[in-house]
Amino acid sequence: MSKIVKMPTHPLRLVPALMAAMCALLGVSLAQLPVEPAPNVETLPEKYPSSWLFAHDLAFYALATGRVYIVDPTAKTSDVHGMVDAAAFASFSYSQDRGELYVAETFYTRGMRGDRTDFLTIYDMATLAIAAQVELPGAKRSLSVTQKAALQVTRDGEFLLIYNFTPAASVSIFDLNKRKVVNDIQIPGCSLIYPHGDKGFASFCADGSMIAFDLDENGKPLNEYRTVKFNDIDADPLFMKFATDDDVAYFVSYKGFVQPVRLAGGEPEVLDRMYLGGAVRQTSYGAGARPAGWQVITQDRSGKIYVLMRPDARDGDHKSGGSYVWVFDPKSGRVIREIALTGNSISIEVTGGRNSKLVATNEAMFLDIYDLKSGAHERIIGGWGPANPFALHAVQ
Amino acid sequence: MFPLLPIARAASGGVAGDQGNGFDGVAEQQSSNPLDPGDPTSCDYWRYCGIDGFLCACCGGTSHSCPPGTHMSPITWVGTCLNPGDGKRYVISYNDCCGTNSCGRCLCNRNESDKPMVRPQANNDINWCLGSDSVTYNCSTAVIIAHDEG
Repeated sequence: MSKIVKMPTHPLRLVPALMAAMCALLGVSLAQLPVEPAPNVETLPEKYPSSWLFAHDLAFYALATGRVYIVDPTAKTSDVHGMVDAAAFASFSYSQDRGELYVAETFYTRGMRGDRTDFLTIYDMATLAIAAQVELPGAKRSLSVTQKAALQVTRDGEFLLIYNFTPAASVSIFDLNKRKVVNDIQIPGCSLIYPHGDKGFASFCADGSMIAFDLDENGKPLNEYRTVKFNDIDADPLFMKFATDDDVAYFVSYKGFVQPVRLAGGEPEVLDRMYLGGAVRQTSYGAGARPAGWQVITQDRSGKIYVLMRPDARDGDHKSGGSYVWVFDPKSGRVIREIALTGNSISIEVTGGRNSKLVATNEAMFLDIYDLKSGAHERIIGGWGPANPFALHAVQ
Repeated sequence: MFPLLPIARAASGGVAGDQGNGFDGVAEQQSSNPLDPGDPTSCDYWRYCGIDGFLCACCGGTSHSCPPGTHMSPITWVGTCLNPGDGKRYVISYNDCCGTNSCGRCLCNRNESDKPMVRPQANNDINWCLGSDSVTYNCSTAVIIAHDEG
C-alpha cells in the first residue's frame, strides 16, 4: 500500500498563486502576449510625406559602406524608417511619381580590389527592395563628396542625369522608362548637373560661364547654350550647391553674394546678383559673416532661401561650417530672419508639410532638428556611429 | 580630398599652440629639419594647408609617401602653402593613396587654396584615386613639387 506523503510547501511555490490572487483583486488580466509572425518586415508608404528627408551618409571611415537613411524629423519616436546602401562615393536621387530611389554607386569584384563596376541601383520606395540594378558603362561616374548636383532627375521625370569625371567630364542620360543609358554628352571643362527646362540640364564651366542643353526624347541635345562669364572662380567663386524656386536656381558665393540663374529651357538667364550682407543690421553677425559648410544653401516651400553662415569667417573657411542660418527673400533681396543654431553645423535642409523643420548636420554628424517657425531646437537624430550625413534631401 | 571639415581640424585640437598633434592615440613625429618644421601627424603642419583626408603620416606612410600596400594616384590637385621654416611658398601636390580601405586616423581638412569642383585641379572634394587601378581611398599626402615663384 502506497503511502501518500505530504511534502511541506516551499514558500517560493506560493508566489505565482499569490500574484494571481493580487492580479485578480486588482482586475489585471493574465492574458499572454500573442505569438508574433516571422519573418516580419516593415513597409513604407508608396509616396513619402513631405515632412521626411533623406540623409546621405558618405561613410568616410569605410567608404564602401555608405548609406542613405530615411528620416522623419517630426517624429518624437521611430524617427528613422529605414535605409538603402550607397557604396563608394555614391550619389543619390529619387522620384516620388515613380516611387523609386536611385543610387549611382561603385563596386569592386573582390571588395576593395578586382574589377570596377558602376551601377545604378533602383529601389522601390514602399519596400526598399531592389527593383533594378543597371550597370553603367565605362566605369566613369564621378566620385566625390556626396552632393545633389551629381545625380539629378529631369523636371519631366523622364531622364536621370549622371555626372561622370575621369577627369574627362560628361553626363550620362539614363532613360527611366527604358532603364538604360541612352546617351553621353561630353561637357569638357564643366562640372555637375542642374535641371534646365523640362528636359535638359546645365553645368558650371571653368571659364566662369554655364553650359546648358535642351534634350530630345532620345536624350540627344536639341540645343546647346553658353552663358556669359558670371562666376568669378578666382576672387569669389560660387558654391556648387544650389537651391531652387520653380525654374530659378540660386547659388551663393564664398563672400556672400546670391546669384540666381533662370534655367527654364532655352537660353539660361543670368539674373542680377544680390548681397546677403545688404541687411547686416538685421543680424547678429554682419560684417565678416560668410557662407560656410558643405550643403550651405537650401529653400523652403515658399521660395525663401536659407544660407548657412559662419561669423567672422576668413579665407579658407568656406567649408568650416556655420552657426547661423540667414533666411533670404529673393523678392526683396534682403535677409529677413536669422536662426541661431546650437552649434557649428555643416549642412542644412528645410522639410515641407505643416510642421516644417530646419535640419542641420552638426559636428557630431548627428542631425539637429529645429522648428522652422520658432527656430527652437527640438531634438537630435543620430546615434548611427561614425557616419557623415553631408547631403540632406528633403522629400518634395 | 574630402571636406571632413575643419571639424576634423577643430576636433583634433590641431591648432597652433596646442600640445601634441591633437589626435588621441597617435604618436608625435617632430621634424628634425629646421627647414621643414612641424609635426606631419598634426593637421597644423604647414604642408597641409589644403589637405582633406586621413594623414598618411599616421597610416604607415609619411607626409609625402604612401603606406605599404597602397599606390599613389598619379593625378591630383595642387595648392600652395607657406613654409614657416624659410618663409617661402611651395607648390604642394595632394596625392591620394589608394587600393585599401580608409585608414581612419588623423582626419584633417583645410581649404586654404581650395576652389569649387568646377576647377578640379584646385579642388579637394574629388576622390583623386580616380587615376589609379583602384578608386578605393586610403589616405592623403602633401608632396612638394615646386617652389612657388609667383
